[in-house]
Amino acid sequence: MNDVLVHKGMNRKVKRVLGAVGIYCILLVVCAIFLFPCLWLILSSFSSTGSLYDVPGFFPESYSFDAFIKLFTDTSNYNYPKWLLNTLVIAVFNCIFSTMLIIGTAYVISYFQFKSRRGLMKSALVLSMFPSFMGMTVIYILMTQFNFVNNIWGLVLIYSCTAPLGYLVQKGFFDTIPQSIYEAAKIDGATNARIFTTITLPLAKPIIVYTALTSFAWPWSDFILPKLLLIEKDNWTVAVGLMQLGQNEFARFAAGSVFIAIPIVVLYFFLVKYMVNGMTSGAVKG
Amino acid sequence: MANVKLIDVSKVYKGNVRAVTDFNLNIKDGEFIIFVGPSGCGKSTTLRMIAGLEDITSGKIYIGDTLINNVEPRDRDIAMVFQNYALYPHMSVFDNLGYSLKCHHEKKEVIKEKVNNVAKLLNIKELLERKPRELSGGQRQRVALGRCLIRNPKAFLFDEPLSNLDAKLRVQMRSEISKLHKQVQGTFIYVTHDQTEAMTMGDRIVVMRDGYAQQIDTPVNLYEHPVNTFVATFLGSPQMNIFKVKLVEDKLYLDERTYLVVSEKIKNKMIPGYDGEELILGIRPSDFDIATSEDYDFKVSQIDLVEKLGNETLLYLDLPGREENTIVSLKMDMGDDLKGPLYLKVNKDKIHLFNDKEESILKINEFNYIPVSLQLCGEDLIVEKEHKISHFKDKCVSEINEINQGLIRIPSTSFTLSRKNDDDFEVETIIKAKDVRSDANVYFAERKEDKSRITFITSKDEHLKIGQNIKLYAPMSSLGVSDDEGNILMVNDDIIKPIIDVETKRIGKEYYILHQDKAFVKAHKFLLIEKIYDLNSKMLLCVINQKKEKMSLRIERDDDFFNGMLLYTKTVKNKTK
Repeated sequence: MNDVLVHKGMNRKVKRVLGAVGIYCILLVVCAIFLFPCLWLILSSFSSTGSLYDVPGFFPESYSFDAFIKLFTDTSNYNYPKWLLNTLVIAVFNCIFSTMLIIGTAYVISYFQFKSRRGLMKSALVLSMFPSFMGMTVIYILMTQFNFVNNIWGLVLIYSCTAPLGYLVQKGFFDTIPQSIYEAAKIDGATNARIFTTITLPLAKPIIVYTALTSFAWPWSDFILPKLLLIEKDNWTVAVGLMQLGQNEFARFAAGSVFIAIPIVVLYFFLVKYMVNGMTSGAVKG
Repeated sequence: MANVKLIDVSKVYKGNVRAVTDFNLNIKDGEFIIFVGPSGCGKSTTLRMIAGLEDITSGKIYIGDTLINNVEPRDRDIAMVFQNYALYPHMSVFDNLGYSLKCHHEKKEVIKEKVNNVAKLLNIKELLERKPRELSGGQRQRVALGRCLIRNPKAFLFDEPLSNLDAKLRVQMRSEISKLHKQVQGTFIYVTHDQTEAMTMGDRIVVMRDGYAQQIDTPVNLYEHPVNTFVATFLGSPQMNIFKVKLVEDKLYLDERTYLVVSEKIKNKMIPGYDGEELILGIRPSDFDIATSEDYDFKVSQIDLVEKLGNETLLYLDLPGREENTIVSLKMDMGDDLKGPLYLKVNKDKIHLFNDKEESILKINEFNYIPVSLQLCGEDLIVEKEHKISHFKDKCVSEINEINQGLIRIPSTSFTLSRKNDDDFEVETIIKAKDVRSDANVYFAERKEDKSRITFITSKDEHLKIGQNIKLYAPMSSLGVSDDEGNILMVNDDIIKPIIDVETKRIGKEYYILHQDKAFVKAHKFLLIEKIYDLNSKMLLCVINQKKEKMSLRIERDDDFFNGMLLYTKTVKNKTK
């Protein structure tokens, strides 16, 4: 009797191990598929010849740091440091303004009950479904009127103003904060502004960090709007600039691409500790 | 600390869903009041309206002397404990407790001192640095209590604060909240669906159903004198047994053969006019007892179920007049010998009777009527040839010229056991039964002269024996006079002759007095009805007490009038009577 039980137990353990091995294999394959382009780009950036046609397979023929050095020293034709600075400025200010506007919008829509709230939400949802370049002509004309063409602040303005349309994720987060916490604060004597600053914002830290990260990352990858609005070489963002590199400058292109990942990664590691879940746990119920 | 007053408060949600209807309540300063009822009865909505978390559809709420209908919650100076505690999760216990003080811009040292005091009071001093998520349910509830206590608000509101705790902790917190109330002497308004909490904690209980307050009274009075079957069955565990019966003379028939004789005490309280009618009889499980085969009310041959709870034994059995099992609670260990016929007796002084509208038909008589000889003598009236009511003609509310016979009306509360004035009206009685209320003793007696029933109410300290002969004295100033058909001639000494006969008109929910005299209308924008008397089947007498000026109005009868109601005034041009 006992033997049978022990035998069955062993069997189950083996099954569990086999299952885990299977799952890890699948994960490794998926990982490899995702990492392959990144790895290839990084390797290409260390290629010494630089041309796209000189990479015979996965690995370049010879390695050097030339591409990176040229990126920051050879600024006569392609002023990469300036592009990087432009993009950084746009990203930082977009991060600040967009986060403020999105969080404000989401809080208002989630917390206050007012007339036409539903209509506003529905129209925002429909509007956000149209791609931004649909309004390219209009944006261009508007920006000429404001004298914002060929000016990075024009981009900051457009990014910040259209950002609140994507408030839905943030609203979803605010909806999870129990109403009774707000009610308790009201009864405790707090004004709406005080509730927002001392209750909502501290509780919303994870979603604020998420919003800040996404709005910081967006200008690094956007191409269409900067290409439309920024004409002079010195005003380009990294995305526009890298696109203009010649065919023989592939190593440089790869190096530039690798480099823009750095600020985003740094910011991510700096902020990730605030993105912990379960901030509201312990507030209500037992 | 302050009193809280709700006048005609209603709440209607979108889609015409009525949550609370015409709620009237005056909560005294320092009172512990409990709203109880099944879920969806409007008790939480009422509390949230007091707190300001819900808008008031109609009616008025006062805290102290301030009308707070349009005051923001933060300016109402109240504190509230929520069912789910609603602590601020990102703040330490210290900051949670001090938050309201911070909002009111208190100094840091003051906050620290007050937080420490409250923490000491609630025994949470060692928890001050912790976050809410590191606390147990009971500790969280204590912090929530502390958040209320720290501010010394005008009223404390509790929205089912114990329903998330386990049974043992609930009992413990229950007594702690009661102790806390004694300590801080504050006005506590407490919502619960648990009738045990309601019965054990409250000074007064409001029983609610479907948005209406069913009865507002002390726990003892609610339990002993419920106004309808809902209150009767909602309070008390196990709940009251309800039977269908027919009243014939003084017997309640449960079926053709089984009946209960109505006791003297119940007879005294019963509103007349129900003879021969179907009634609802309520008997609490604890009002049954074991009887002998000679003297019993019910003989039971079979017991369906026996539940032994240690201090009491519950029997489930079938009795006539009721389809479900009847629950009988016996205060003794029955052992296992429950075979054979069981004889049961009912404490007939403690039965409850309701009419077909499920309203109680047991009521303490407010007034006693005694037939007397009357004689007009100039302006005065002579009662029984020896008592004089002076200036009777000024107090008489109808026109009379001659009278021989009539009734004098003595309020049950104005009898005394010793003579206070020389001309006090004397009644000789034998005490037949007694009713104990939370604030008074009610005695039912028989008048020696004509065997008519007399009800009188004394303070809690007076203890009289049943069967005792007693002389009662009523001061002449408390007497009212009616003619022998029962039409009121004089309400009492205080009430002066009505100055005006008025017509009223109902506009929406408000009543208007129509009056010709512009000066009168200007002087009295509204009149507060202090007391209403039925003059006869057509007319009411409303006593108005306005700016310390007393007057009375004779108004056509309307059943919607109530004490404390406002009548507005309106001018009419050239009204002919």
